[in-house]
Amino acid sequence: MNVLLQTQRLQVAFGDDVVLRGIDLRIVQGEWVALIGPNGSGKTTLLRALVGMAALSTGTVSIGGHDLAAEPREAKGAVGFAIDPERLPELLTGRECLALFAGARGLPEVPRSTVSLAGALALTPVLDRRVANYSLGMRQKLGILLGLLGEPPLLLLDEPFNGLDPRSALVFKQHLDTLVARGGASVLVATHSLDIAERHASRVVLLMEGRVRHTWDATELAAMREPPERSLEQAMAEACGS
Amino acid sequence: MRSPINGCWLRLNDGDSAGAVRYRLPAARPCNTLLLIAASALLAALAFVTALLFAASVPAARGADLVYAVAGIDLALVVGSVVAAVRALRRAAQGTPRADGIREPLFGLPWLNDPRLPHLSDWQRRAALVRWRSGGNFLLVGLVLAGVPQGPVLHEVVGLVLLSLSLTWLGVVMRACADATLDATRLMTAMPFDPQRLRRAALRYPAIGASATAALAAVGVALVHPSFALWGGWAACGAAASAWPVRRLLDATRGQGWAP
Repeated sequence: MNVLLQTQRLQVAFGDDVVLRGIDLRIVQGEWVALIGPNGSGKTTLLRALVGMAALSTGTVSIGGHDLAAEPREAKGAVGFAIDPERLPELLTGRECLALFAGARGLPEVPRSTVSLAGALALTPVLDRRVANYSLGMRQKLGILLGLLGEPPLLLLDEPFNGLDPRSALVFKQHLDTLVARGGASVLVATHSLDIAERHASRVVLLMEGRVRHTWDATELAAMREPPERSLEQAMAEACGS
Repeated sequence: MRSPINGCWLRLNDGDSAGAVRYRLPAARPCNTLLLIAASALLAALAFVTALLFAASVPAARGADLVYAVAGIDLALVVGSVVAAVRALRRAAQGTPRADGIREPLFGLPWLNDPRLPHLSDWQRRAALVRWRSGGNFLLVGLVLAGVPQGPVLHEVVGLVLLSLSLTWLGVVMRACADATLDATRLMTAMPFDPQRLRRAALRYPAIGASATAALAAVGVALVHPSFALWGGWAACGAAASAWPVRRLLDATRGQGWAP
């Protein structure tokens, strides 16, 4: 299987505060991995470290076979990272954001697939409005679209369903499922929604206090879905307590 | 209750949606009211400025300058108000939100953008506009005018205003461009962008802004006293005001991405 992401002994510290402690993570093509864990466990920091937004203290990150430190452009070319809704440029319109980020990715124009997804997410009518006037849900959708520009093989999403209305959340989940099912993409989603992790992920990784505490593979997840009394919520509670 | 904007439904909600009462507001009525308020405010401002200048000129025995001062400021007030009113009416007709209008430059410059990184210059330009409109930029002009000795001819005063205004605008543009570029590179950290291309795109608007302010300053120098020394002094002040923002801009576009 084609390995899209590999981290080795990844550690991130802010001053004396060590946030991530020796993370070893491997994601192959076609995987839908959910990253779960309590607040402050390091999920967002891990995602940010994977794209160079948080400096590594030690360890390595390899994306699509390219070392992030040695070949940042090649590594980042293989990854799509949804933009934090609060950090979107308020002075631009949604359409201008898409054009700017498409240019940054080296695309001559906004791809048709992105325009199509914007339509499916009901964002098209507001694309010519300034981001400053967007609601949280609209910003979330735009941040997702910016991350998915050009459909890179590895998608990193941090709480992407926050603020989305049920219909848009469903459309987006189906879109991710389609991308993964086609075999071309892998998804790493940090989420508190255990329902999404349980229903859509092929692997769930529990992060606690900066360490990988537990991993449930596809077989274990399938077993959890069978009996109604078992659930990822219960399994996570047990793992956290152990 | 929804805000009573132009031509909308005014909905008085009594807490029960079934019992809500809706009134259709005629489209022209709020517009006319707002224009009437604007015209009244303009007349009040003209009267206040005239009274203020009259009060200031009498003890200073500068009655001869009063007419020019009143004419200049009143003309600026009238022209500014008319432009603002026309733009507000256009915005209302287009349905543009007010917040967008505030951040919209007077005219578009599509050629300003690098086609390979479109809208970065738009972002910088709007950031400069927002910074300019946040106020406090006429301090230098005021200080320069306060230091003008008694009895200069009008074109010299205009020249000094142009010199100080162009210098202030240059500083605003450079700082806004540096901030916008830094924000852009932070947002694009996860993107495989070409730092050289980003730097070229990020320098377009500052370069054009610097050229425009230099041209304005050249007119100011010509009006005050055409000399290389004055021009050199302005250029030195401009370079000092631009140095730190340009350094920040170049630093932001030095490499691939940015980690805090």
